[in-house]
Amino acid sequence: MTNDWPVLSIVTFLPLAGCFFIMLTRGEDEAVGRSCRHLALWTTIPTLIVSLFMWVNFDRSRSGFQMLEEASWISNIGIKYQLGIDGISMFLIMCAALLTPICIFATWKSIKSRVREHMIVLLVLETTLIGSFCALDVFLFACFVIAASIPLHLMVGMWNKNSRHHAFFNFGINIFLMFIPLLVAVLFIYESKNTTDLIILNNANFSRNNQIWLFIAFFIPFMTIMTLFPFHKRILSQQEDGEIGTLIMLTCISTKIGAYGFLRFSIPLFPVATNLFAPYMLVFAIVIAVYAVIILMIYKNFKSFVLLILIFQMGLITIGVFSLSEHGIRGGVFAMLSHSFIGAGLIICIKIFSDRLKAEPGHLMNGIPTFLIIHVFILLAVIGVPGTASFIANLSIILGVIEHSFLTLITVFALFMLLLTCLLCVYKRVLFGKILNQNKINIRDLSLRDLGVLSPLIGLILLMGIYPMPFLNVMSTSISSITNDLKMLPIN
Amino acid sequence: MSTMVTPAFVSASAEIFLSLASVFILLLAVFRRKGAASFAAWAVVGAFSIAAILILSNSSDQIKTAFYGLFITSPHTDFVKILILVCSALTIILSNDYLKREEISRFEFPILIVFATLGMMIIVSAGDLITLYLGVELQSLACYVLVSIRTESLKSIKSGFKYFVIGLLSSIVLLYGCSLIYGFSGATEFTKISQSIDALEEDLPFGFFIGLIFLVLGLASKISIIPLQTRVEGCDKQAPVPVTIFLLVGPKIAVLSLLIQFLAGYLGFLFDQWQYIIIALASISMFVPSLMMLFEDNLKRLFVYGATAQTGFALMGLAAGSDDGFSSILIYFCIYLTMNFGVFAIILSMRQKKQAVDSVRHLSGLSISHPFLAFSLLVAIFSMAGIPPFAGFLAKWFILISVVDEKLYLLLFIAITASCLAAVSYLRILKIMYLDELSEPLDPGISNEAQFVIFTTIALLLLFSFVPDPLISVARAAVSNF
Repeated sequence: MTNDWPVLSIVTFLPLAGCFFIMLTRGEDEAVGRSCRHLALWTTIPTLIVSLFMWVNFDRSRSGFQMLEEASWISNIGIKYQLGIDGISMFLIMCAALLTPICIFATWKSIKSRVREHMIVLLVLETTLIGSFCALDVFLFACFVIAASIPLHLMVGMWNKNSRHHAFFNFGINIFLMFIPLLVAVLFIYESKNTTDLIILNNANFSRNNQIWLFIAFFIPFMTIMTLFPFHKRILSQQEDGEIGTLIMLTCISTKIGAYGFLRFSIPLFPVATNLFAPYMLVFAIVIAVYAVIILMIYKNFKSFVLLILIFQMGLITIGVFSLSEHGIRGGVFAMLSHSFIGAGLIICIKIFSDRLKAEPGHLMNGIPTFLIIHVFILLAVIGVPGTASFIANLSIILGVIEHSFLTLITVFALFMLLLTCLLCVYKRVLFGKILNQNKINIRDLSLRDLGVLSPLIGLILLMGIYPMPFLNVMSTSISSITNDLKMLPIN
Repeated sequence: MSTMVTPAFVSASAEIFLSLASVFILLLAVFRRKGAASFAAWAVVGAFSIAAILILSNSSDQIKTAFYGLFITSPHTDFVKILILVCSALTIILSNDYLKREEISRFEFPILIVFATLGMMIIVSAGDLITLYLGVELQSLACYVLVSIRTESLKSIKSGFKYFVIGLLSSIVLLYGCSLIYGFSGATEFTKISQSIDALEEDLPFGFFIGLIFLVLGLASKISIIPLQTRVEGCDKQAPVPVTIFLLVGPKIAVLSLLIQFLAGYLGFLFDQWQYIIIALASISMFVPSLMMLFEDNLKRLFVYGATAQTGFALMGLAAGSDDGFSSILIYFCIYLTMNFGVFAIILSMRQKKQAVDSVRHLSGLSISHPFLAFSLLVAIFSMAGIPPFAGFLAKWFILISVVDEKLYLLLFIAITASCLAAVSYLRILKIMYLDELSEPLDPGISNEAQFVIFTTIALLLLFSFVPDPLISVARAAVSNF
């Protein structure tokens, strides 16, 4: 199905247009803050609505890229501005388009200083993230990804007084580890194939040696973005007083670029290297997951445990993707989505806790029932109770792992058990533990705004868990094309 | 290389017009009592635009020689001359308000800029070692005076004198190189040098090679590429900010353009020999200033080092020795000019308690007190650091492509390492600007001229990154007949 107007460009650059209007606001701080919030909200909601059009117009039977948009950018060296989506990237775009208004809504009251800057940075981040999900040119993708790290780190540093130096340091590291390998890889691809067009590159064969080097060059930046093992500190450093918008953008959306990058670039472009590295990647991912669970058992801090769960999930997604089976990849993609929603829900819950209650929560069951019911629901969703989205995701990942090896399966099962135990321990403490804080009588239950923020997330988690077919159908054609390409490889 | 002989005065009409205009404006300004300085400034800007129109109207896509081979014009020289004129005009626009505020406003300033510009245009068009030297000296003499324009300050005179002595040294090296080249080839005209060396069947005479090294080194030290970096260090403390940026952009563009024409256009067959000189120069001038930037707290000097490192980056395009390399140098020049003017216009308009801001620490909290300045500096700094999607990245990308094309992997490695080092310093400024607490607010109010320059340069930088095609095709066309 072709479209007359460029949906993808609109979805990508609509937030930037909002930025422009926000820059024009003048006046008293308070009035500026109010109008900025409204402006930001009313640019992100149309973005979400336009992204729904994308979903309606998507042709579910076709496997290749759709809604292609092409314009010359640097025509002299053949680099094009090329956008397009398939079943995988469409959901990630919609996920980003949904979570940004939720971020704005959730931080309506909590952001008090520099509201204008916050909204500008948030909207620029949305543009760059959506852009990197629909870029079909390696060069364009690299530009978007690196551009995304600028607002992301400004957000981390500007609204979190304690992690200012940390943010700066991380930014430096990020720039080095993302920028250089990615650009050298893109430079190399351009030099050897004379194009950076992904559709053409999909049919281009790199030699075995080149594939190995390019795979490594892509692996380093993707690993950095996914905040896998050596970089998980980047997330953990936010545990103290990270702000909701930053946390959601950092952990729920931008980390997905890494996993998406593996699926979109590393696996289809370098199949030989993928087959070579897949077992190591699996081991790596399992180690990360185990590490996260172990830290989870040791940590008593209620807030950091949310972030550790997110790290665990990134490990899980990597396991799914690199099982290289259809089920596994589908589980991985599904997990990317479900974990975005679950993660956002968890972060919002935790922030509600810490905003209203400065100390570690104790025996809370009597104080705030609505909140706790929602919180427990989200926690059950983390474990993957049937009926929630992550059940489907985890099931699919396990199915994928079975195809791979029995040992991996046992490890993954053991991990789930460990996670379950940890969560139950934590929850016993929170719900029925000793009363640690005498002020709990003053805690308010959820306000309407909180419910408004949480309900779409909960609705999606339930929908994806109970009736996942609309999601799976769209994904499956794209995913089977990836796995088919891998199967066609001669086994050496 | 096809050449065409045209009436001499037509090809040099812009230069002739400028020299006449400078004398005329000088006379008018002397006899004006009030407002001579700003009259001279705007008259000179007008003269520059007329000169630009003259260049454009006489441009053709062929190489033309005039004055019996002393003077050469080509699409390449036209392009570079326009850039130089833009640079000089921007300098005067920026300096108008600045000089008044610093109370060193005088009408000789724009006239001296015209002389320096004339010198640079002659360097670009030089077709002979004699013309080259003439241009170099005209440019330098004007600049010696410009640097020490703060006549009441002893420090300024000292730094001007230092600059003079070191400039003299590089002139000596340059002249020695010229005489060696003349001695071994028997000619001073570029075409004849090229013919006589090419005619030698056996190996290249060693003396000629030494002469070439001296020539390149002399020119390189004129544009303050390491190892004579100290020259800039001496001048930038006391020199007015517009003069610093003028010296950073104009002479570098002029001399690099001449090096491209001379080495690639006339001595292209000796590529294997001179490539090593250029690679060595490029590596040094990329790496050492990037290192020095790490430990620099003086804002102006930090950006001067940064600009030197960027010049080294541009030199890599010459080391690649391909048409792509040369056109990417021109693209780099344009973006280099835009981002450096943006940054220095911002530095110039930041004042604290009526004093010029000179330390990076004074930038803390700039994003709170001056969001527009901070955003502009962010765009310019990301451009300088070469982080996508900003324009500086495109400029670097083209140069890197041409370097990889020629398989100069060691140079690529050095370039990337140096860029990383420089990026650290740039990011540090960004951190101070956006993440640190507001220490002491800067004075409000930016002059209209500075606002104009900042706005234009930032808009251009954003434009270059999204619509780079027109610039690239113009640059490609300019080097088409090398």
